[in-house]
Amino acid sequence: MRQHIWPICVLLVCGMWWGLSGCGGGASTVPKVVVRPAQEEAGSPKGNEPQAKDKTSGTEQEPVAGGVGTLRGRFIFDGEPPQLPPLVTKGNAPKDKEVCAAEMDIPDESLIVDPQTHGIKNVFIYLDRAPKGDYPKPSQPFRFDQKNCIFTTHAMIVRVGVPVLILNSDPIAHNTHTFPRRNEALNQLLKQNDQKGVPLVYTRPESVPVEVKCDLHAWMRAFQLPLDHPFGAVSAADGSFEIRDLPSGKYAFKIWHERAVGGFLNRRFSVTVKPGENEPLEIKYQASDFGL
Amino acid sequence: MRNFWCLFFTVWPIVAVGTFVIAPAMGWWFPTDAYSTLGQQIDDLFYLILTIVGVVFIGTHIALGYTLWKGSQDPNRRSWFTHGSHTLEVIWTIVPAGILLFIALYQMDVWRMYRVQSAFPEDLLEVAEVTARQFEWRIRYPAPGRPLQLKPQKGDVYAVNDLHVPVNRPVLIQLRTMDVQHSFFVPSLRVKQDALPGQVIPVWFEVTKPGIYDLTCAELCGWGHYKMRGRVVAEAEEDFRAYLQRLAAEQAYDGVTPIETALSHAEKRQNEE
Amino acid sequence: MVARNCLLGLTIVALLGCDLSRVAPPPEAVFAPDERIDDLVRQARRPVVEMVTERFGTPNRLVAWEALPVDYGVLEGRVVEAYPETDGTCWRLKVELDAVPEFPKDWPAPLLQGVAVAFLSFGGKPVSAGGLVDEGENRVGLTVQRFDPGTGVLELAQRLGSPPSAGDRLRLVGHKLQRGRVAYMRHCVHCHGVAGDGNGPTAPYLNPRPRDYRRGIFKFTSTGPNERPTRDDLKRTIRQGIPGTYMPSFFLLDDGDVEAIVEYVRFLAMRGEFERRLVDELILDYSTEAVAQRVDAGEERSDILDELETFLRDELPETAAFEVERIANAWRRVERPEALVVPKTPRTPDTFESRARGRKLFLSKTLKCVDCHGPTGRGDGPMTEDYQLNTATNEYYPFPGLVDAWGHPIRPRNLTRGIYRGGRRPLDIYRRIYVGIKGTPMPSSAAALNEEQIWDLVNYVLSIPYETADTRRQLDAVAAQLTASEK
Repeated sequence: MRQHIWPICVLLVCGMWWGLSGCGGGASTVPKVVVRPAQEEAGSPKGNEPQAKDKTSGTEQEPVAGGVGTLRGRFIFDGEPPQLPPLVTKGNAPKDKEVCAAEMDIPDESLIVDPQTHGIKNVFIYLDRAPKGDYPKPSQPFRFDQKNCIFTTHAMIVRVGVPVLILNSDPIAHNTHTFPRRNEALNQLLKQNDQKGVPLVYTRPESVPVEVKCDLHAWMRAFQLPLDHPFGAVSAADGSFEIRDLPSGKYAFKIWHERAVGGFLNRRFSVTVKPGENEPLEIKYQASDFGL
Repeated sequence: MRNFWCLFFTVWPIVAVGTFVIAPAMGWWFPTDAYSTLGQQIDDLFYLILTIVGVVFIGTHIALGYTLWKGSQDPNRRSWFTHGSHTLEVIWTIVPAGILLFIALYQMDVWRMYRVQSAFPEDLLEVAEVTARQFEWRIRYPAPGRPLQLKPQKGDVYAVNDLHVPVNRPVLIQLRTMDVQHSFFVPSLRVKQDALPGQVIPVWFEVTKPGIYDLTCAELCGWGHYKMRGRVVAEAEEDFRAYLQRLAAEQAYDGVTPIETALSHAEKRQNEE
Repeated sequence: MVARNCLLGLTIVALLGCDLSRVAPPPEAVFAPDERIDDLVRQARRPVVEMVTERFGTPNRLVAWEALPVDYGVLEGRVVEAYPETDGTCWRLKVELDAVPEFPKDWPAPLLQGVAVAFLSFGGKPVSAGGLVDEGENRVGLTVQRFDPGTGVLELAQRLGSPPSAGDRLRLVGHKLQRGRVAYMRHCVHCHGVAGDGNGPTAPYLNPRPRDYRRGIFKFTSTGPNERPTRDDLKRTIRQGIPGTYMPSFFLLDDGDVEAIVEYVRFLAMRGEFERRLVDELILDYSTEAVAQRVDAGEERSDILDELETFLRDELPETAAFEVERIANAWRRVERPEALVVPKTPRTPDTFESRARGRKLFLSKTLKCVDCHGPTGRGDGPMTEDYQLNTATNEYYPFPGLVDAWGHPIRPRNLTRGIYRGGRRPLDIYRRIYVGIKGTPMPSSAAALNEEQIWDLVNYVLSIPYETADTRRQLDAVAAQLTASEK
């Protein structure tokens, strides 16, 4: 027995040496490199904005030859219209009391239903991808102001390439912070009473409205939807909307609201547009659609 | 097998002596000479202790080998029972105690110079505050021409992992740590001092040779302990001043005024003073 | 005796295990996919992963995609002689390279092994498409097996159909990418993760969390708002570290390593942003949740999946081409000198008046610095106690205070401590004010301040660590006088 201990000991020591010296891992393997040429798949329009195909996912446009139509409609709240309590009651702002909620409550604009008409305000209805075409852009910049610590336009559709002029009508500073998906974010401080403004230009259309916040006043929120075509609308106080000059055809609109469960009220709202005036739509939603 | 243990214990003193003899030639010694004044004395202490321990080690092993050899010669020899020798025990208690006491007293001088503030050299230059943190050395120099203060001052000059000191003059750093224990270790200067949370520890040394020396952390301080690599750059006093001026100018850079201009302004100001 | 034998046996078993683990290769590093990929329907997940992998590769087989402005490390050279095949497995060429890169001494592989070989001309004829050929598959993905810088003999890891002829130009691509990957895996991966997702093994223990590169957002840059960092910015961060965070300084790291890491970090950032954008395109309509909702709303599941298939086939590649162009441009743009934010006027002398004006601005309604940084600059302004809305989920965060773009709680800088993460030069503070800090609530004040005002503010901010209640009172008095005299 005694004699066997020695070789075992030697083996142990050697084994230990070999086993423990085998450290390393990721830092000691050298990767292989392969080259991929700059060009994407042959024939793809390199660097161009992807254009909508005639038959694509989000929308199913089958433009019919001849004429454009106007689509009108209303978003209606089916049920007892909810009245949300104000976010900040008059004179009770957690900060900047002399300006914010100084003369009026700061309303909760996340869901505004007209008590008389039951119309839902600030619902976005838009085409994700428009039929091909060259659509004239507005010549004037959009204006986006803030007053009494409220973004004065809570929900708006803007155009790609057309500046949105961010203004400040309050005697205090605000910062405007956007959270886009495809565009570059903006986080810009606006000094008090800045009427010269800071231009914000979206370079690409978005699929859902972009949230705009003010980090200094946590309750301030707004939504901007940049599109590269004019076929979108935000509903007015009575829930009505209007989309003009739509080439006749079958469309699938997206209907989006900030309180909608899962974002969209309708991901594919199919409408066939005839040339000229179309039958006004009445689109009804219930409290449960808004998570109430 | 009879002589195995005898040979076994005799081999080690021979190996030890052999190692000492060939070590300097094989590069198994200190990585460099000690490039600081105290470092040389610390090395001397080390050699003294090494000699004492070496002599004792070799002596005891020779004695052990001899006893074993002698005991194995006569297979019929019988062991005897003993209560031990009182005299012998007194001797082998007093002799090592004496040696230890000698070492303890002998090193006091170096210890005092290294650690006791009243024994620090008179013309110490307080060169910087070195703050260890996981996992780097943050260095704060006083503004050029100003003394180092305990609290950060406007105009202080900051660096990281790069400590410059003038050569051939005793310099002092104030060592602290921002988080856990670290240890400021410059092997070539034989400087090693733990940094303790909540304490500011003065450490002085005098570099005798211009050069770049490794600065490492000698206290396992966390998973990134090995990352705490820094360097100590010992340079001529005027180079050190120029370095500090330049660092200060770079730190005051406003993106418009060229650093050279700022430097020449600073020089002019200093000349006027 | 039995116990001793048992112990011995156990030790041997343990050591054997150790040895076996050495024989088996270490677990292969992988790029963890974007967290949100799991939210997609199954049919959408794989195409995204495949698209990203095809364009960027895996940690052990990286793709040097020439559409990206990354310096992969390119060596050009010329074939001097093609040797006949010896063992029929690989090709040997004698080449003349214009330059041979220096590799660190402890480089864990033979020089240039694994680097891609691309011919610019082959058999005397020019080769198009990035040196990669016509359809002959045996010329795609050529890599170096061995290279001897002394003799210039290059061994290819693959076999070629026909030999190149003397005088053919070739390019060896990727030595810098390799070096970056190896150095990154040694120095950075613990915190920043293999994919640069800021999710390495030590990340959960760190506050602030390590940077997740995959949004292309880097906080401390010398470029304008929304712009990517320059190479110099990244290099500076690596060299200087970020005081006040766990990012240490790699001051003594070899220059070549730092440069290679910078390229690799840029590569990972571009990869991450590309992946992120692909997921963005799909998640609105094809997340498991969205599909369930659509089915509830009356659509047929099979229709949705057909639609998804069409989308993946027809539209996603175009979107990908567009996105990579956009990302590449964003990174390319910042390397131009005009992309740097540089003050137009030199710093205002740091006088008491200047600081007083700066303090007035600091406290003013124009800037509202105080809302976050607090009246004394301690980083304890009222916003640190406000609950913030999570834009992604429309719910309030469960903790009070500010939140960054990555959804992590973030504290405004305590300006009294004299620790400046992005650097303490006046220029650095100028840029933080002018540009803001990307990915955080700190906004750009470019539109709200003029040059002198920013410098006044810089002077004040740099003086905060040394101020006392007395100096504050004096500054306020001076500021009041200045206002009075203006009127």
